[in-house]
Amino acid sequence: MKFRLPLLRQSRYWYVALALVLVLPALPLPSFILRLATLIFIYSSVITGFNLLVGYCGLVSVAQAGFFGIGAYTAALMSIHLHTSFLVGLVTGTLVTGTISALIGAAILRLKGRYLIMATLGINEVINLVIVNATFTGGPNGLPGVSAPSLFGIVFSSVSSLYYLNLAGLVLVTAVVALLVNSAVGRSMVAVREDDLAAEAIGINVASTKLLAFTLTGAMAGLAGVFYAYNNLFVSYQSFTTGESFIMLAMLVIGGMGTLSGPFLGVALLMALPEVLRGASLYRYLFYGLALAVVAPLWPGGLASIRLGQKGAAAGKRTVGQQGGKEA
Amino acid sequence: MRESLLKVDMVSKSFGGLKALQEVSFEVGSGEIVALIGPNGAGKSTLLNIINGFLRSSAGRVLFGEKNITQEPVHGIALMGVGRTFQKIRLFKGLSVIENVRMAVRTTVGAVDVVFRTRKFATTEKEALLRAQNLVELVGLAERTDDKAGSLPYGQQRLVEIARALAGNSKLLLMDEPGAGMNGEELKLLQSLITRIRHEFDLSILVVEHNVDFVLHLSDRIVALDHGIVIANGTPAQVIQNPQVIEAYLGRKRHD
Amino acid sequence: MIVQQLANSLALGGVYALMALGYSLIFGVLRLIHFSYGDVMVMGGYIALTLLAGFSHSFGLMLAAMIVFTTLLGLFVERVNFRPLRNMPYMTSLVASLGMSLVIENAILLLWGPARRPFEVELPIPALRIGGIQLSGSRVLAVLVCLLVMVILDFLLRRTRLGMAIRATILDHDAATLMGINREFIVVSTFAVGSALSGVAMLLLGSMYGVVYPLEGYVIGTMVFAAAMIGGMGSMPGAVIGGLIIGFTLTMSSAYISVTYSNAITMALLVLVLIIKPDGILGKRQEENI
Repeated sequence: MKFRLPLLRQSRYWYVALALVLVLPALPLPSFILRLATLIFIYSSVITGFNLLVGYCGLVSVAQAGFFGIGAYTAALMSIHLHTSFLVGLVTGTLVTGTISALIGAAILRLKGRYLIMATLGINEVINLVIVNATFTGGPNGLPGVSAPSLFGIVFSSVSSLYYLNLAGLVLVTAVVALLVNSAVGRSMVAVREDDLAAEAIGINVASTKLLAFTLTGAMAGLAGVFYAYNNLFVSYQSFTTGESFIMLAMLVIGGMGTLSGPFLGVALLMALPEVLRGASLYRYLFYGLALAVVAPLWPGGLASIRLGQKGAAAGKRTVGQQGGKEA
Repeated sequence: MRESLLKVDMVSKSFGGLKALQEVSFEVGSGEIVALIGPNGAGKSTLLNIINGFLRSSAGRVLFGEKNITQEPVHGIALMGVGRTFQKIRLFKGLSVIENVRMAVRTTVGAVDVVFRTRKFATTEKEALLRAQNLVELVGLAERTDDKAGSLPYGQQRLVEIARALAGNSKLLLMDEPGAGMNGEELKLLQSLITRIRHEFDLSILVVEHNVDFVLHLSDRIVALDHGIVIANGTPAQVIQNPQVIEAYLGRKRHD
Repeated sequence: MIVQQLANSLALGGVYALMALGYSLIFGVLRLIHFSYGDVMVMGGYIALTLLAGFSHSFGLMLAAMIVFTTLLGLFVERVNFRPLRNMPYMTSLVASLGMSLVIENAILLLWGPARRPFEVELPIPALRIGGIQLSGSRVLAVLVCLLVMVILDFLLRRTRLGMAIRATILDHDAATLMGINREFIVVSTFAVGSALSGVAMLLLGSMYGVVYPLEGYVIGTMVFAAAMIGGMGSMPGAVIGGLIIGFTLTMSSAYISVTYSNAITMALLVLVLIIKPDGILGKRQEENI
């Protein structure tokens, strides 16, 4: 079957990795590893959603961190001022971000390629500047005081409980994306990416496909943002700058666009390695930069295109996911 | 005459001061193959783009069946049963041949079936894939089913485009210079393919070509365009004897 | 008062026009977003400042130093960052270019620290007083230098073989190659010219504001893209117009609304322009040939 993107690769490495992920908290590891893994799950959610827009639909945006922030701030504000539950915050955060991204998308999606990138850059800047300068967002100091998330009476305050909560969030987002991608909607997005005029000529409503991709991706960023707020119990503008958007793009590209495992790999690499190298935070961005400048050209298909245990890349055979070289 | 499937009614198009089309009118009956010929710059592609919806006419209207499609968006027109191939081949180059064709096959499945991957979903998917496969075989590319469309030679890419244009249950096929860039051998294959398509799918075809030989034995009728005006509309035999048509082609040749 | 601000706008606008010109040239030839344009400029500035630290700060020397170092750095980036990207998918080049920008910014941070660094240069022109307007020497200089450079650039592009080859490449890559123009050479030359322009701009900016700081490249770079976009990518007159508009918006919103929001306002303007006229003011509509 040509269009089935298997959630689990045939390679047995994936089963091992999956098992490891599930039992990680039970292993005798320092808690910072669990906290790092939790952050990786959250960011993987963002990037998986981002993949829908950039990898599958072919629209490059650098506003993702901004939408991530809108979700996070919405949840934080609701928790702090209205004492809402986690679930309510989750739904509201997602809906608010989704609505805002729909409105923005309606305005800017007819722009193509580099113009779209610039517009989203401007959008992220504006979002960020509002966050930093408005009073209700706590300004540059951020908003502390988010209550720990509780679901069905269970309070998730321990490191391992948060680990599993955010893992569940990642599974949710991945499931949604996997379903979308393997349906007519997902296929339309790929068609739009490959040639939007041809897509139009075979009956695909290109404008609404793009808008749908943009909105869903924004909503998923918002959803992940809610998880983020409830994980850190604190939000501040630094996590939502345009620079962070660039990092997210990097995570996506290095991990491999148009694949389901790519986002996770990209996030894992770019978040874990700086910790492993134990450099000062000063080196973090330098490392990211080198990673981008060097890794991206070496593996244009991203990490996910490196096949473990299988003989070479299937030359000339492509699946729905991989994007070809295309000038924007 | 068979019932009219496509009616172009007094269509005009100006780009700024340039009059690309002036009061063009003609019809395509159901099951007919009509060729639209004319020297370069006659306005043929512009007309096709207007029919398709990529361009809006400055005046006049286009009717598909009974429906006025003049203001309809491209995808809407496509869904009504108008397929299209492009002068500059527009394939989904990164996808395989079968995926290209499959893209155009339309299925109706409820959201519930999609989300829960019911049996109905599986059967519909299977049928769609089968339909795509049949079309790929029809155009003779069965061995290249899984190959990346962009890796195919030019002539075969054109065939993929045709298969894709047929996949959407088209009643009318618009072809923009399908023979461009093909050698004699490929042209012959293309001719027989077009004839076969017309019979197997009982659809109408409007072919834009400036190579008159190619469409001479292929079409039921020929409409000749020059400088945006219809100068002839009749059977191939009639049209090639039309002095204005001869003038348009020869005159053009002298100036080139 | 408003005339004063207009005069300031002109000076800043002129500098942005220079940078937008340099950027537009590079973009026109490469068709890739050059994220590190601003960073190359700033790093070149830092290097020049450091090397001339004990020396004189004469205008001519500083100008020469700025131009030399930004050009060298720009050529380095071309060689290391852009040349390997020749046949890569677009996304890869985007990301790699981004990466380079991060590397340079952080290299500056590591080598010179995060503090602002004073920028001193001896101006050959004193401050002027016309009517009630006070024009600092640096601003007058900025306007004069920009005009001069634009004249030189215009001459270069229209009267020299190299310039015409560059313009041909911008208009149509393939045709240019078919006519025997060596693309590689053009890319390198354009990078040199574009970076040199930013070197001049660096000097003028430094003399106007008296400081330079590590992330200046990012901030200014963003504004330069905005200027080039607003004016129309790949259009020389467009770059000038875009630069003037940016200079005007930044100065005016800084003076009359708030300094903190001046960036946001400029960005919002960019988004607005892109929505209304995506190709920029003088950009040519890329008609899709269907």
